[in-house]
Amino acid sequence: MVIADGTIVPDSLVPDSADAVLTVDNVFKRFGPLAVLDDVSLTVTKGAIHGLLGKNGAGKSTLSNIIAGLLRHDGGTVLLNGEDVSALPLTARKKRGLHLLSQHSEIFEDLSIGENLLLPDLPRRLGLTTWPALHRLAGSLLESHGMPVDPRRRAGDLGASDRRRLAIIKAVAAEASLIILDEPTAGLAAAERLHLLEWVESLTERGTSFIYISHHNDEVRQLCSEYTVLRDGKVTAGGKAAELSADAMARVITGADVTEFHRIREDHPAAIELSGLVFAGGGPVDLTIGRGEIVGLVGLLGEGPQELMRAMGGLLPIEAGAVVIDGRQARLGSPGQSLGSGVAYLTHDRIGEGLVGSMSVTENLNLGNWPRSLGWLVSGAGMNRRMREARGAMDIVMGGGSQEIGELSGGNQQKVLLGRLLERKPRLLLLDEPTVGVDVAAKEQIHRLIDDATRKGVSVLLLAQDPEEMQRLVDRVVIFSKGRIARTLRAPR
Amino acid sequence: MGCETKSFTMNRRMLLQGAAAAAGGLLLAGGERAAAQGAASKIVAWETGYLGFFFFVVLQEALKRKVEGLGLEFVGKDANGDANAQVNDWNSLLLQRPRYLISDALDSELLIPLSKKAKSLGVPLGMVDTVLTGGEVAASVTFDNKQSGVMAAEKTAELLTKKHGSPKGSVLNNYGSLTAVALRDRKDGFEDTLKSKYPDIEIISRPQNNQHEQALAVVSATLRERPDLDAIHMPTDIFVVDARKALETQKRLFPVGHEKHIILTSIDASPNALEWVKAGEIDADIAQDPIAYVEIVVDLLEEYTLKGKPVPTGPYENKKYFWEKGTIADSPSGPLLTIPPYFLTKENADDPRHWANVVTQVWKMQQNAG
Amino acid sequence: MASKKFLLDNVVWILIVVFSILAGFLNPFFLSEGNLQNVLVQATTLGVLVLAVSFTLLIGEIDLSVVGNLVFSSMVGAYAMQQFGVHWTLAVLITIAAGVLVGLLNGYFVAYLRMNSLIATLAMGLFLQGAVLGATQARTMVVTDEGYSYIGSATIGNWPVMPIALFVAYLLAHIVLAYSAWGRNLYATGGNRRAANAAGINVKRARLGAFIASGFLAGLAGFLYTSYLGGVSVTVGSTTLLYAVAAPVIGGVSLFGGRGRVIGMLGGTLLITVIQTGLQLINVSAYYIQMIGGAMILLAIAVDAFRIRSEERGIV
Repeated sequence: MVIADGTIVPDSLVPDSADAVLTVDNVFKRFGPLAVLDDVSLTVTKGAIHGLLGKNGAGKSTLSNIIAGLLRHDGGTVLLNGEDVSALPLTARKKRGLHLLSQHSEIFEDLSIGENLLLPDLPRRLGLTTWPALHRLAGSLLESHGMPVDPRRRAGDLGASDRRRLAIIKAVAAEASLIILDEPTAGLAAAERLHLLEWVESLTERGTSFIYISHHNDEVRQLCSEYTVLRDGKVTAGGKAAELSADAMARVITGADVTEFHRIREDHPAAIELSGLVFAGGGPVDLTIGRGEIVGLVGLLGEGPQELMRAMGGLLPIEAGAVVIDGRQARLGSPGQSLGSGVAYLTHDRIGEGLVGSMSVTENLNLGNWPRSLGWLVSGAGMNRRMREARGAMDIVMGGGSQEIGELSGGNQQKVLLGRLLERKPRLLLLDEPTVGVDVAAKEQIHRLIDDATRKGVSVLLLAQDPEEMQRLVDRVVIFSKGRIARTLRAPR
Repeated sequence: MGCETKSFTMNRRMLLQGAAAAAGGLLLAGGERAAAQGAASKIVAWETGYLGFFFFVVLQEALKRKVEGLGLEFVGKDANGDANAQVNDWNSLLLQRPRYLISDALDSELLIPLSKKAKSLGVPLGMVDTVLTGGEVAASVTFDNKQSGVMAAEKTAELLTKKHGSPKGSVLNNYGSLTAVALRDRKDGFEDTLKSKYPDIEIISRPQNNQHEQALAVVSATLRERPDLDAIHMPTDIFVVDARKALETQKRLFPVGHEKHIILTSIDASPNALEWVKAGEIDADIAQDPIAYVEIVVDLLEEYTLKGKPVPTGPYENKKYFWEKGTIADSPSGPLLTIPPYFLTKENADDPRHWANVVTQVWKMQQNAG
Repeated sequence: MASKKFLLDNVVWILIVVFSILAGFLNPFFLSEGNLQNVLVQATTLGVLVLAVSFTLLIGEIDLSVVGNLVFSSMVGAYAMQQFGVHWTLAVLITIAAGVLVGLLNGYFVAYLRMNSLIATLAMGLFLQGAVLGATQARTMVVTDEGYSYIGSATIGNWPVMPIALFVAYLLAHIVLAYSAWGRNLYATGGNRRAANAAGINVKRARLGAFIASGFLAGLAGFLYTSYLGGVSVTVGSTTLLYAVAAPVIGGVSLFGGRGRVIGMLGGTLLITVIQTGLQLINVSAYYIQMIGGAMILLAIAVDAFRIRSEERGIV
């Protein structure tokens, strides 16, 4: 094993090759001058769940794409069940039992669960689909894999965790020997997450192996029997997961000691007043937010907290009531008006609602807030100056400002989005899942940036599924029920 | 009708033939029924393949005036260049059981089955301009497009001989869309004549696809490429404006007789062309008479078909038109009158029977809008 | 690697050179100065129409009414001169204003009434062309005014003036699209409408603006067209519309919005014009011209698809 600073010597690794379902040997990959994978080796044991860890941009996705055959590597070999598959495309590897299930598991929402499961080999007679046979077959498959649902139901009506189950069963039914799961629990509530993990574990009893890519270190420690950590394209650690403590794991991932961040809680003079605010999906809401205060919003989906944020951000109509900021009534009729009034909304949907994929990093940072020259032209120098400042202040890791935004890792994309909002000098930040799909190190940095902003007097409303994030950041929590505030809890000093 | 209506004359033989045909029982029973039914209707149906060019507008206007002059009702449809739309139009017009249906075909084959359907429905058919290559048509009137091309070629050769002493030099034929039979015939007549009879005349054959911008572009490019170009032939007057524009832009537009004049010939004899011929700006223009087309076809249908008689074949004479004499022959689709082409010249330009003069002086219609 | 990307990005220019050499081989006149003038003159009207379509493609919509708008606006301008004897400069403004009005309607339909642009503008185009047919009774409206037709027929020292309009239009379009705040808003709106909205861009206004720009350019094309031909008739070919949509795509403008460079639009225009004029000048039988033209465009699009695929392969 290649050993870098802060790594753990994996003495228990290197299992018998006869036992290995997958062997990656000295794989090398470069994009232009940049080596994204540098002599990466790993072995997945038959029937094991192999955790693949690392920050965003460490090379996890590149590696999994190379293993699956989506990307061609520049050096090294990939052995599947002892056969060299380096030169085979995705479809040929799939036939040999290797399946990649990406974050957005592809299901056809308007087809039935049974069709989704059996496509493209639907049972046919005379070229026509025989529906009863299809439903019988799909039903028994679902049953035997611990997912007893009616195969005739529309797949789009399934919940997020059942959708992932469906994709996994489809792969298992195709006699997969190795399934790569990329962030399978992203966006799931804690209870669902646990259920899904237990279920995946039960599948290994049939001899199926998994590569499990996740940001949740605790999940990896619970679930995986072995693991590999990537940092900057190199393997920095590997071995049996049980031997690793949580702190040690965080350290090998980031390459540095994670300093625990503590927010100092103090009193905040009132600055923003929501009175009788009625919006699409909730209200009336009365709430006073202090200057520099972070108020956490808690409530199930559809109970009002997200709708409140989106309404104040100008994305949902406000039907009645007023928002007064520093004694002045804010106009919140559109995102443009909200931003103009000092209210900035950070979306939870970074790809769909945050970034413009066809534009550069610099342009995404300046989007809708172009520095002007001559009144109507965009000042290139102004854009670049902001980019330099943001890059320095937020530690954005990137090649250059003219790079397309899609080439950045999730954490860095999120920093660009936050940077865009902070450039507007907001009085109130509405943060909707600010660290979704972001690695440990970037999460830490984003928390610091939020804290820094409050020190400069910015008030924050925060919505986060992650209880740890809530605990760390908020000064006060308001609990929503049926569109209204049900309770307020003050965080302990 | 602005013009006085004049029944056409026929010679004795034709009349005899007609009588003999009737006596011989050549009249189909269906034809008689058709005549009986059709006569009840006052509606005359018209389907034009394309209304986008002035020639077809005149064709439609002539029919409308003729029909209204007879106290009948005119219903018209435009297929806008789409042969399929024309089939649909025919079907819906036939549903109304008009007195008769007159049409200018976009596709000479496609409409043949429908002509049989019309017959079985008892609606007589008249075809003008582009006629059918088969089927059941009561009367057809067309123009000898090929002959017009031949005449333009002979004229060009004659003028080149005058210029160079012998038939030699170069001529641009900026031909139109070849999906139109009429334009294809004109191209063949023009180019085949030059090729076979005058091997020393170089033909530069380039398409303009019935588009003004292409005609202008091609003539411009050819003028630049060939500073020595002797002659230009356009297959229809519609695109002579573009040739003139190209000549004008390059300062090479000179009147007939000027030593730098480029020989210009065309076909149609439209109102514009009449002015150019009078002004000596175009060497020769060959007339194709849209007004005669529809007037004659209506006359034939009223005179014979509706009275249960077949249109007789043989020579046809009508002093109302400048060309006066033509021939009705048997064609695969039925009796067909072919109007002979003739030159519109400076000398005969004022004859009121030219369709250009009818349009401008009697109808008071302008070719150029505004 | 970098040079390969450069080659692929500029493939349209390479194709122009290849086709020109091919055509020049078959007819040497093709490579002469006279024909260069000819190509540029022919490219002018098409080029401005291509810009018109491109503005709407950039926001992920399409304007199929540009040819109808061209005929309509130039008829309005010609009518104003003939009926009211307005000065030609005013007639030019009227022509363009008519185009803008049509664009405004299209934009309102698409941006505010949320009508599908493909169908709405197709219908608008049919309506306008039909309106012109009805109003002129298929007669050509001849424009004899020397001022109005100056740009279409004048030469300076043997060089036609018309292509100047082409280059000025493209230069301005480049400045507006690449450097103006409004232009960047168009790209952002086309790239991700929801994100543009959330970033405070007035998306509806940007979308309306793209259609107004399209109408403006269609009106300008109408003026240039009439000036060039010395008149306006309803028979502008339907192939013109197809070329006006194909050219930006050949030049790398995405049909899904957000991507496309002005230089590519120019390349697409010139490539199509080169193919067209090449086929006019080499004596191919007219029966095959359409087929060859179609095959050439297909080839250009295929090369472009190859470019996009090889770009995507590098990045995951």
